[in-house]
Amino acid sequence: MTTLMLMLWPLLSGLFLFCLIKVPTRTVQWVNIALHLVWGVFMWQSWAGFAPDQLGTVSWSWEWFPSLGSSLALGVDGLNLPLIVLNFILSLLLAFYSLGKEKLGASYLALFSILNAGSVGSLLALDALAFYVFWEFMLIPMYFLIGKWGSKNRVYAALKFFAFTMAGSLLMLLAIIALGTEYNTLSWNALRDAQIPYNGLGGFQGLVFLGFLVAFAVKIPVWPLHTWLPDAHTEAPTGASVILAGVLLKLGVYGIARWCLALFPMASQDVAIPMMVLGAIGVVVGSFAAWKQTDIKRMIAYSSVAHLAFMVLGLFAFQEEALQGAMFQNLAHGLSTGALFLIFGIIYDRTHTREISQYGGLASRNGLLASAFVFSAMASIGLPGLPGFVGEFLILSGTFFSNKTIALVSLSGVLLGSIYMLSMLRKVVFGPVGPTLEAHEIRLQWNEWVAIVPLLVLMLVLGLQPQFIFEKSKFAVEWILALMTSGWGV
Amino acid sequence: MTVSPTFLQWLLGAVTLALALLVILGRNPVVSAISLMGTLFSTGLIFFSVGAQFVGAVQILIYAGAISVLFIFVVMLLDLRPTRVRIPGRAPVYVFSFVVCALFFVAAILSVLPVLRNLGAIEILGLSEAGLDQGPVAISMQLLSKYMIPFQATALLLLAAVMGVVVLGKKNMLSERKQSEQK
Amino acid sequence: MNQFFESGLFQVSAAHWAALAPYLALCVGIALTTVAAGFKASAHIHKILLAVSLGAAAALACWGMGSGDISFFGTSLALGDTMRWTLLAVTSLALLSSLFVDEEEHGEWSTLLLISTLGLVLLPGARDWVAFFVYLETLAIPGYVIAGLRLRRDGGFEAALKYLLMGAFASSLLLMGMALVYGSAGSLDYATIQEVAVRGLPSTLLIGGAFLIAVSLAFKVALVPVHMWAADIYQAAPTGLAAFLAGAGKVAVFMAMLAAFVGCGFLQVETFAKLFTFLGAASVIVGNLMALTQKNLRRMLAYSSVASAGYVALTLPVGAAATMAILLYLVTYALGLLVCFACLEALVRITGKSSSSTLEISDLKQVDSKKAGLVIALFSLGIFSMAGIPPLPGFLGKYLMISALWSSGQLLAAGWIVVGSMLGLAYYLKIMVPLYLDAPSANKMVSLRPSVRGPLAGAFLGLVLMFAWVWAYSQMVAVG
Repeated sequence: MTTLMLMLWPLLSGLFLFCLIKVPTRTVQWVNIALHLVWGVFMWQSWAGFAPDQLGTVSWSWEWFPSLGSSLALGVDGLNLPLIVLNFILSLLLAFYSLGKEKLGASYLALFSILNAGSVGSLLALDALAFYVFWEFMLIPMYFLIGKWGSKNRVYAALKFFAFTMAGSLLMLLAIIALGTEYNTLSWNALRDAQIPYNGLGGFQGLVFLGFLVAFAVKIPVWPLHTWLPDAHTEAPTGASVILAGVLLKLGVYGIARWCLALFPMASQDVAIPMMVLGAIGVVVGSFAAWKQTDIKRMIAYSSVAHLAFMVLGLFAFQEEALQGAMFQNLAHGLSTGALFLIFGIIYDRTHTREISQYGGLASRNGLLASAFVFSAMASIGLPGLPGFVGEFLILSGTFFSNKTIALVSLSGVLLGSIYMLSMLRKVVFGPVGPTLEAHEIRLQWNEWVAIVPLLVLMLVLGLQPQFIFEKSKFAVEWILALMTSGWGV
Repeated sequence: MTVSPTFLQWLLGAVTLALALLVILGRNPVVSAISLMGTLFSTGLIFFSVGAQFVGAVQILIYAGAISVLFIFVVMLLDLRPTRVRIPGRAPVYVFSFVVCALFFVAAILSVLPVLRNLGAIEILGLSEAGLDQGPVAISMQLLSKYMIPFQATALLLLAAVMGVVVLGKKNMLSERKQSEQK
Repeated sequence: MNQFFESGLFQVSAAHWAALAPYLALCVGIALTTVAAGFKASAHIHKILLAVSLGAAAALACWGMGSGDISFFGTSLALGDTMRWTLLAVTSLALLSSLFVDEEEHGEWSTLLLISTLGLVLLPGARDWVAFFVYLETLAIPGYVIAGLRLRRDGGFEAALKYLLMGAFASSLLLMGMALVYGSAGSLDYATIQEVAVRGLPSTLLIGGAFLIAVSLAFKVALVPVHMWAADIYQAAPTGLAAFLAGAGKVAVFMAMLAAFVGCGFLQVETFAKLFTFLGAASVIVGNLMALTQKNLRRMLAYSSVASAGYVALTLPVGAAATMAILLYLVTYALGLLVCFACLEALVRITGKSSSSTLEISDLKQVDSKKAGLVIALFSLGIFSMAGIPPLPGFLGKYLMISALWSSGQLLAAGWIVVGSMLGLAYYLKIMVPLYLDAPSANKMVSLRPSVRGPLAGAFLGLVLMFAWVWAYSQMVAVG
């Protein structure tokens, strides 16, 4: 029941918030926070009651279409729990961030809750059709969030986001239909047990795998399918950017782990090298692109492309450290990039410009905020002591064992990462005060600090004590790895 | 088992087509209406010539009968007065139509002739046991048994058609009357 | 003579009468509305009579569910569970469409709508071509009349005339096809034709006849290349008629096509199946591309209708296995379209336009999302359902059709549906832009009048029914 409420509560909250359209914004925003806190109770129950060695246990199921072999099956295990909690944390902090902002009223918050329902739902889903429903379902609120509350080019960005993601998903739909027709069931556990035989990439397992892979590759995004991300990130409102970077992109990585690696291990092995190459290219291209940007949000977006390309490396290196690193980096990146977008969003709310040239000397305008910004940027670069380091180190060391060349190429990405990030920091935070910062006061309200500080604390905690997460995901990672190395003989 | 068309049927076919063309090409609506009547009449004769006497008779009765009404309607609609119809004398269309009518007359006589010559053929029209599988009795038997439901549906279809004509016509007439009153 | 009546085919038992009950309800309705029209009864009475008779027909169809297969007089009518589902779908769609009728037209409307509905619900039950033709005309002729009721308004005359002429042409094609089929098979019964078609190499005559029949029926559901009437009629016709044609009309005619082509064994003829794949693929492409270029909302919905007919045409070659998939898709699509029409009606009253025929996409800018929130929400749900986005019901229909295609090995057709869905997204999203994403233009909208409540209720009802259908489907036990 708790598991069901993890998904159902935000959905009901969203519908409830829609009814509050005529209510004054401030009240609605507080109601939203209250609803989030109740959601948090369910989160806490799930976290506390979690047994690390469960994988794919279905805690709640409803046979909605027995004729299709599908049921709405939800379950928590080591693969999805950390991401679900991350989703909650980011959403709660964003709820605090939105206090006092007149534009972020009932419909915005309602759409956000519905988006949460969709993302948590796809994380919880242990049935292919249910997964697909939630996966697609997320597109609608995201489309509206970007399209209505975003900046100048928002319509174009929203349309591009929707079109790219949907196109990828439709291939996944064909793959799901093929699975359902062939095996008469769409349950993850049943498909796992079915041990789908492999006949090369053109065979059944291969093609179905590719269908799933394309959908996830668009979402992550893997170079060269990444062109929707910079637009979506730049044009989206702050809250949507944070959730996009923090949760939605991670769903792609999660999807590969849950659906591609676990169900189609042999096919995954066959595409491992090409995927790693794409990952390495993504790291380098993303980093260079980020370096050249003059729009701060766009730069952070490209850095996301680079970081997620790293995770693709980790997924397909098929080494324990790399896979563990990838799952961990999921969280780390969510926190650090989320924090970057949040902090910059707060600044943007006051200055309304994203041009680097307009900025400078943030440190002298608001020292605390500048420190928080630098802190998050360091986490993003991968400074030891912060979670980015843990993730990157594990991924690189794992990849090194797998393929030295690719590892070396990606190492350069780490270097580039620090270059563009530090260069951005120099231009924005230090030096003489830029025109826009001159013109606008950067003073934070209490709720904005409430939104930022927990992120910083979490980053520090995770950076120094990553075991916290490793214990939860260890079982799942080891299981997947065993599949990778010995195929169906496990 | 194909039967090659007899000379009579060729003739009737040609006449039908010629009259049909006249319907489209005739410049006067009256000419079109009368040609239509002729087309349907000769189609009926074709039915006679293949042995479907019942259908042929029905075709002539219904179509020719209905078309007469259409003819009158057109005249009414266009408010034609006899003096308005010009008779240009030696126009080619009149030669053409004279030839067509002559052929038509010949064909009509020839097609009905076998029936007239063989009055015993009336028995074929269904009054004896042997003829039960063709003719009006057979058709009505089918209508009232196998095709009962379509038969009833046809009744409703006719209701719809009548209603439709009245409704569409009524609106036209009403608005025209309004227009003429305004003048 | 006695041999006919003793053959047992023509016995009518109590079970027959019970099965006929929905049809009788419609007939009673026809009689009552005609009398009411004669007595110049108010529109209210007509609406009640319509609702009661259609509702009774739907309810009786439900009640008869599961009582087995019954056939009347051999081939006039065959009633099974699929037919009852179709009955339920068509009568409920007709009922919803009838909610949109303008007050002053009600007198003739009710009777004609009921007669057309009767034709629609008889059509999928026909088991020989004579019955088929009669039922087809019964449903078509009242349609022509209703289309013509608004002759003077907004291009109504051209649309009605186009519809009538093309419909008459299609009927003549149907007759020609039937004649050819009769010539080669010697009978117009589906069963006999099937024996001929399946026996060996079906003759060219038979295939030719089947092709002609297919093309003429393609007209009725607006498949490319005989789709041209759809845009004009959907735009110019009264909302009720457009909703009726697009919704109830499509459901019944497609189910009838399925029954006819499966019954006659045409679908096993390879060229015939290929014809439908071709028609479907063409409709998907043309429909979606044309919809993208439209500015008028009704025309856009018309072309999207053409595309959706294309999806169904692609699925037809699967045969009997795809029956529920096609029915569910068509019903959810029809309900989605109904919801959209209802919201368009509401929007008309908000933007102050004279009728929804003239609503353009740019007019949607005038709607203030704060005040008209409910209308916009319902409209979006309708659009997203038609686009096939989960978790809305339209998705299930598409999923089932793609599944059916995949199971029967027609991967290319499945791919077309997927491609079509992607294309369809483009114009569906295009509508969303002025509705939500642009700031409302300077001309403030006319405030929400109470007359919006009627269409809103209709839209809401449509939405609820969509989910009800999905639920009903989920209750069906797994079949293999």
